[in-house]
Amino acid sequence: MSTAAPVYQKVVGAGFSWKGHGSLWLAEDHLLEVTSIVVFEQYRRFFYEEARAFVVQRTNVRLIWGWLLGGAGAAFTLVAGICLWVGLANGTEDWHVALYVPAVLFGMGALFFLTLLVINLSLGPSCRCHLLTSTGWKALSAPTRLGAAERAQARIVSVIQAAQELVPAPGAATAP
Amino acid sequence: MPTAAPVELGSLTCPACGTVLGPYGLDAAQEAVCPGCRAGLRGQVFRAWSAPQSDGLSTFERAMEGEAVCFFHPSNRAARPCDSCGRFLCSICDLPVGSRHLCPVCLSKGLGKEKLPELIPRRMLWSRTALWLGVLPLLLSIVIWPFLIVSGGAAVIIALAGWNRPGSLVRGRQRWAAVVGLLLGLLQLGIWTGVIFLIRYASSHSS
Repeated sequence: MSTAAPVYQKVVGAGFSWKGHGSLWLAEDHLLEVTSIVVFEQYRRFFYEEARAFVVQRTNVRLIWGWLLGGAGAAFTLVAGICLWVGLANGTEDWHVALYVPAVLFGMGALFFLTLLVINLSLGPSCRCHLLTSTGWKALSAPTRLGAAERAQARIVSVIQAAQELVPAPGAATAP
Repeated sequence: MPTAAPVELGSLTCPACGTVLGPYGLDAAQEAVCPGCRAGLRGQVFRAWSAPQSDGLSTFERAMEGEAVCFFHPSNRAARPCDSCGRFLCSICDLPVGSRHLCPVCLSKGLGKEKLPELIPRRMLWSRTALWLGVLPLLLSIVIWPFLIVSGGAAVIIALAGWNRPGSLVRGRQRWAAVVGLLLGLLQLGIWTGVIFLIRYASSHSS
């Protein structure tokens, strides 16, 4: 039995979700979706000949993450600022130095969340890609950002269209 | 012979909410809005959407005198050979796996022992397991140093045992991860041995 493994080419863009880290790979006759969780990889294959439609759906994931990260960053900044302000305002007291420790810790937390917020905003609008097969719509785990999704869509669509050149055209199906 | 009814493009549904999109529901260049959930959609419909669909029933023809016959059904005309073993197959025994056509025997062999890459649903990555077992305990070594002999030993064993095991379908075996895991596992064993030696040394000199 032939065991030759297909050669895969990575499609631009990745995605993170509770399912793990997702990526798409192009083979000679199918699109492979790889979902990785630490030391496990799960595979889903979508054969070009069976693909019926490819859709990129705009989502509001970036907005939700923006509010969450921005809120956490603002809360940490506020707490760090209060600690710092109280410590400075009571500079003559012995205990004022103890307030600088939480100020630094909360400041580092705020920096962490605000860095994630900047990354989230700089990645662009969020989206979800779907592929329609004979068994219905399949949500893909990647890419999850619109810019990468548009580039991935252009590549995937061209590959699928090339593979389906032998499929009868829409008019041919009803021709007498 | 009846032909399959053409599918109206208007029956295409929104992937998010299932609402039927309009007749011009998808456009690759311009974003459309789903009338149901107001989600912005941009996409492309392929030829397979409007191609006639199979009714799911295999058709076969009886073999005439002198014609090639199916290996499994000697009375049926052979439609094509198996891409793996070369046996002639009728349309009943022809099992398409992507662009390949297999006989039931080759398909079951491929399912059982992961011989067919097209049928592998998941894999455990041994090299990455060794890497994690090598890195994580070291980061927590101050707290969990007594367990370094377990995690270090496991990293070494898994790195060696998984050396020839199949790796990721797309990234290969990633042997560099196994090597790093092996070295870090040996480092953990060395740390554990050193700490035990120091404790024994300290206790013998204090008494």
